[in-house]
Amino acid sequence: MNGSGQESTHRAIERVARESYGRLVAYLSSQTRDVASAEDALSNALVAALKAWPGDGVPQNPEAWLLTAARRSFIDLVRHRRVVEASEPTLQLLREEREVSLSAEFPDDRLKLLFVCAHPAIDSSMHTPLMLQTVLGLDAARIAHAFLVSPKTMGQRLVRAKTKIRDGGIQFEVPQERELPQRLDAVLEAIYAAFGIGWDDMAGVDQSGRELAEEAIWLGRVLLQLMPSEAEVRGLLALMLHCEARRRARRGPEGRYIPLSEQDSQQWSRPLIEEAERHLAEALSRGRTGRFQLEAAIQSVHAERARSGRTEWAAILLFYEQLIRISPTLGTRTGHAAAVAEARGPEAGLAVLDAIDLGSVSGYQPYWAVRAHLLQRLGKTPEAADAFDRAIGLAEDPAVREFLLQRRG
Amino acid sequence: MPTDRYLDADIPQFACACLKFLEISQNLSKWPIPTRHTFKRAKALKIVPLGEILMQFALLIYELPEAFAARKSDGTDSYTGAWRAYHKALVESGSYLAGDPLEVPETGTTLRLKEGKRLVQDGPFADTKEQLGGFIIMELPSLDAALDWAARCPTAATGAVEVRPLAPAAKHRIT
Repeated sequence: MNGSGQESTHRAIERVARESYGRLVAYLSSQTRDVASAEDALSNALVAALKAWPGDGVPQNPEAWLLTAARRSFIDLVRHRRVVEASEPTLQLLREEREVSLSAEFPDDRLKLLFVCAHPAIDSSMHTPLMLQTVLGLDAARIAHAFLVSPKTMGQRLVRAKTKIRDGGIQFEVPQERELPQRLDAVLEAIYAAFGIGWDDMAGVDQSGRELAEEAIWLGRVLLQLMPSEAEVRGLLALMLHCEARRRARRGPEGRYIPLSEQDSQQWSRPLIEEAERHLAEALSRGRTGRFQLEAAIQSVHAERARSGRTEWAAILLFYEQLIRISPTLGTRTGHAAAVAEARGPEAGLAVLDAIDLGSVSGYQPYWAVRAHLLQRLGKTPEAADAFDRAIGLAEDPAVREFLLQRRG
Repeated sequence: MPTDRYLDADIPQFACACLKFLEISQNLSKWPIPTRHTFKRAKALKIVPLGEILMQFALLIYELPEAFAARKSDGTDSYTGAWRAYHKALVESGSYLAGDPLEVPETGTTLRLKEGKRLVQDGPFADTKEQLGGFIIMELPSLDAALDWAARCPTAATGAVEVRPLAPAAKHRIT
């Protein structure tokens, strides 16, 4: 086989791996709860594909090929590890299944897997890393960079979480109606966390942040495909798409940071805004509103500037007031203060900031950035300089730091 | 993308956001108020409960020759400004114990005793591009929290910051 043929086979494997990874892991692990073995089995299958496909050609149904190979490897792995008697029914199950549905369509268990990853029994800081690894196949080292922990530590935490899934009796199922809102919220939260990290880490030079935001949008799309009637799922996707639409406008020449208010709205991506709006409209028509729809609505008002040339702060403020009632996080309250300042003047905004407990904001950079901005607008120069210093000192992104240093003067 | 097309676009965005507002406010009152607090890195906001075990960490700051050279500036450059702000944030965090910059590497003198003979060498111990330029000692609940502080350090973008726990057990053996 010549070089280019080999290359196209590699690309084919990559594509199948990308599209099928989560489905295969979900399917293999939903019957056994053994996510780690499912992943190992699948990576063995991918290695086998890399060996076999360049010579034999890409099979007609590559997914089924991978599933067969992974299942075989899975049985070997479990047998080899001689995991307690409890695994015997598992083996039996796998053997039976093997005969039945090798080439046929296999069920999409990714939704169950997403709910398992964000299960309340799993430490909430591990929800997002688990999803990125099990559903998208990201390796521990890359996840570790994004979450600012060492690769070794992230690897250990992932292993621990998977052991808990296997041994802790966590069921692979879509939650009952009664607990669905809360359980779904954890899934949405974890996807949004991936997006937020990718968003913040997009420092221009490093592409990994950007990719993580794209992975999060991909996850959002997968979830929507699996739960098309959940309004908040659409709300989250709309929110992420609205932010994504502005990516190009966020950085100037030489990676300079440009705040939303100064962005050239004609640089925003119109197709993404339109898509976001379609999802938001669809979500709102379903009549069950929630946090992500409200956040998307706020972004929708910002997006309106591309058409009208102005920002309707009164509308943004209304949405923030609703948002605070259902999600009074530090981020929401800081955003609310900024909206109050725009709608009613910096003094009113400052009063909202003052109402936040000082103990909770000592490490929260956006609070200090907004505070500095408002104090500066009020001409309180020494206090503003002090707040700027706190915001600069807490900033991670060098471009943001540079921007604030210039503002501070 | 032509601007006029954008202006004529039949995007329902603003109307959608506002017209639905009434509906939203009616629906919201039916919703339970969740108390979960969220933030992209929950650990950064974690409030340390009294009695939680704190560990001491050293943040070792490795700088490039250019960063050492910048110390001769008049102090209005952005690197120095960023450090000034970072130091303030450190001190106000309540987790800062100590810290100091070191003089430039060329001022170092390295000593070894080999087979009873003294070997004195001009310059730092290791001949690398990035050299130890200072240190910070902090008391924090976890390595995660220490890494958060390392990420905010202005030198993380130009040189490197190594986070190392202090070793109280090793100290205990000799005291």
